[in-house]
Amino acid sequence: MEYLYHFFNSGLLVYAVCMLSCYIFLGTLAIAEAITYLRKSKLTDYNLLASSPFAPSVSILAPAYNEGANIVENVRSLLNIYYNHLELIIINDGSKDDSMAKLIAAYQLEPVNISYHPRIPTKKVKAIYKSTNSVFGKLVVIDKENGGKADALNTGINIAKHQYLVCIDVDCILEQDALLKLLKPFMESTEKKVIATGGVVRIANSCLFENGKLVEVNLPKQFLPRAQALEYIRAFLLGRMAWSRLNGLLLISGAFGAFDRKIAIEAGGYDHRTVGEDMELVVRMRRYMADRKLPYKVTFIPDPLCWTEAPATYQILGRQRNRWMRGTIETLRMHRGLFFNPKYGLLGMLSYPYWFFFEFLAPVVEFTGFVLFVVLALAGLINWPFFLALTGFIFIFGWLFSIFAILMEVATFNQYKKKGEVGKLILTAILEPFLFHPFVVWSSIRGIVDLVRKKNSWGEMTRQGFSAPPVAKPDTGA
Amino acid sequence: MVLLQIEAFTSPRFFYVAIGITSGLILVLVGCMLALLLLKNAAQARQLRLQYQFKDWLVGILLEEAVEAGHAFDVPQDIARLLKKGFARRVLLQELKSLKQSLSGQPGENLEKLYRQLGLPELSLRNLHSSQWHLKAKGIQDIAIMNVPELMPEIYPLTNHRHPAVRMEAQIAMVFLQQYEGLHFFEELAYPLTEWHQVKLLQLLASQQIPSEEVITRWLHSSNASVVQFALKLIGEQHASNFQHEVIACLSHPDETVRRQAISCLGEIPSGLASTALKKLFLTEADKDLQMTILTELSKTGAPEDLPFLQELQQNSDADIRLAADQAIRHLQTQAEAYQHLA
Amino acid sequence: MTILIAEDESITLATMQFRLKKDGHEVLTASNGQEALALLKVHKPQLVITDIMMPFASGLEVLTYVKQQENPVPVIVLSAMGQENVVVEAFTLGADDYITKPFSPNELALRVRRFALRAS
Repeated sequence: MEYLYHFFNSGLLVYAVCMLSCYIFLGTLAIAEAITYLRKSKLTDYNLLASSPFAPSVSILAPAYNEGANIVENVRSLLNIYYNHLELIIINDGSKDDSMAKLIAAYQLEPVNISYHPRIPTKKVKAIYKSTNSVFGKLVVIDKENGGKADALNTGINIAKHQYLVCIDVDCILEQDALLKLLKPFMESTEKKVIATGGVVRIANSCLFENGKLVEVNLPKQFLPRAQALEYIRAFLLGRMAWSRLNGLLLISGAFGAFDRKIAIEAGGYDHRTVGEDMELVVRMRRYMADRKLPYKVTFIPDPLCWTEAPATYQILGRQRNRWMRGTIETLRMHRGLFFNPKYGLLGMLSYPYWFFFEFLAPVVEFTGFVLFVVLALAGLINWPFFLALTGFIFIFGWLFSIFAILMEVATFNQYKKKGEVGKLILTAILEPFLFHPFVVWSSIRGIVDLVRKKNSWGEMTRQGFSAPPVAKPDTGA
Repeated sequence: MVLLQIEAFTSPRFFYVAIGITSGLILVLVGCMLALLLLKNAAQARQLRLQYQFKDWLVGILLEEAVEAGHAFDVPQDIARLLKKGFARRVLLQELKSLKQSLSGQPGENLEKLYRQLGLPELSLRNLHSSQWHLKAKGIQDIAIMNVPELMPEIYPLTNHRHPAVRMEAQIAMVFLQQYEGLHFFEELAYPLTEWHQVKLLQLLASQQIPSEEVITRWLHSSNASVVQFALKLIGEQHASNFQHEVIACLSHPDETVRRQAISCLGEIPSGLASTALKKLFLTEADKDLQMTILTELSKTGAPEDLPFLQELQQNSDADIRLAADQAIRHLQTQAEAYQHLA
Repeated sequence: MTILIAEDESITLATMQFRLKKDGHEVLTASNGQEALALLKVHKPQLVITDIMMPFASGLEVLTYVKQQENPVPVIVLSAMGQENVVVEAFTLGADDYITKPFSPNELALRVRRFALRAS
């Protein structure tokens, strides 16, 4: 017991110190990157790309499963994106509702004969539709058998003709210049090839929309979405910004990201065996480049470009976090060969270990710590003054980090301009460790348990459809 | 020994100090946040107010007709007083820049005159001489948009600046002020032009006459692959078929991007010679992606004499190539049918 | 004639407004696409002048909306994008005229006069 106590104390301390130094390091990098980005952005006229005949060609892939309620509106919103070399591919993943009928009626669709060579194996394609109305000339609708999100995206990749792929959730609302900003990095690289660019996802709850356009940004009024708004700011503005400075970005949100089509295909497309297909693909594409010793980059655009509804109940949030944890573990397991593998440079020596220790292990450590604490407390072995001081410090450091993230938001994009919104965000940051974070940890633990249990009972995990909440996984959430 | 050290760190007192420091930091950050919010809001309000105050005055100046050379625009006293402040001058400069990009003719000339009359070039020049890259780039941009050709000698050396944003703005400025003439920095260009940058330059040059054969040929032989690429884009966009032979020569360029550009360029200036060259390249090209590009261009521009070549490819071992050949043949057939209809 | 102008740069907008008023037209203004669409639902202008790149809704959406109405009124598209493909797209969607920025307000006024003559 005595030994356990010591282990508890010093182990926790070492872990906490490592984590804190990582966060401080990331914070500093994030500031540097944000300043550079904003200065550059100010000089840039993004509209240039919208009309140039030399702009890269883009296929937007938006998979849909049982989205009948809003599908027509969602597609209209996506069709309104102004970009010259564009095709919009909607993939109906065997919806059981009337999505397909609604699309056919609304956009005057007609089956067409497109011959293509399926480079990635997928479930059967029933038909490919195009509109008879030239106003919707950019629209392609694929009707296929249900196979899950990864399979739907792969079908889209097979049929897409353009140079770059932009994968989004069909219910996302994009800013007017979202595509232009997301594609610019691909055109700026000279010696290093840009293989993927990630965009920021923001929380749309309580925001005002008209005709599929965001017209007014509001801080979510409910606590859960508000806590997630804070979490996303922290993850995207601090975490990804910093990783992108290091070129160590492992995750591009499935809700909004752009890829080089050729490399995505050569790397094998999305893997339908994992629920974390968005992270897994980026890791695999990076490996593909690293294995061939090709210089490459994964970039990130910090502007708020894509808005999505966040889960507003504990139940749905729990399911989402459970799935994220499973996705993280599956990806880490599939690519375990990267772990401290110097052959992969930063990817193997820093990005992968960081994800392993802080994204996967953090909930485990926190949970074990809590259990140990209860055991020690029951055995009367807790050194209360020390324990309270340590806990207090950890809490306060968490707050510091959140406040720092809010400060960055205010200094850069300052989306929450209304009176009192920043104050509310600070209050949320203070409450979050009590009302939000423990639940996230608990859901992650349940994800681990589910994974272990299902693995034993029926081997590979498969998933049907993806009516679950939007996939927009932030990292460094603690 | 190690244990002792850990003991020192695990004493509560250590954490009390840490908590104190961290709390202090939090307070400082919150303070910064508040200050920043106030500053930002104030600046924004001030900017809006200034824009409002400038509005009627500027509209009046913009619509002034045929101003003689020596004429100075009327600056009312309240505006003159506002313009004593640096902030107001920067807001006005920003406004003039954005107006200059949307209005031409007399209003455009009036804008340039006003810019000079108020001594704003000084502001731009100060930025140009700044050591910070983003200010430098902004200064260059001002000078280009507001059309101050006499500062070109200052900008020219910056076309080879080591910061990508600065050299890009400088290069854009040269083309802005002198069109094709401005591109003589190509001769000494030490860095590659990014795709983005090429698009920008092409946009600026879109409505201009293509320069002399001699100049383009020199670019096509440049040791800087991105300059060759740029020249090929230009030829393609302007459908300048007189460069056919030079473009065909680029098909054997060692740089893959140049070869790719040459292929699509030939698609824009089709001819029997071009298609023969493309077919020849197809057989020797190792990069499958480039082979596919060749097939795409052939299907766009193809003529009946390409049929045997494509039919042979239908037996190719690669499924993608078979498919592309199929598509090209089908395209040729529909085209032929359309012609028959016409005849 | 009543004219609706949609343009996000406020002084450019004011300049156009002022210039066209001088010719005796009545001018409604919108500073973004959303506002223009809202105005179109209430008012019935006889001519629409719209920029393409505006916040919230592009000028092409405004154009599409106008052309979907019964008895569509003429639309002049105004844009910094002068490339062939954009111009072609605008005309395909039903634009009646296309002016590339930077433009001269006097030239705009002359083109508007042509539409006014046709309308009367």
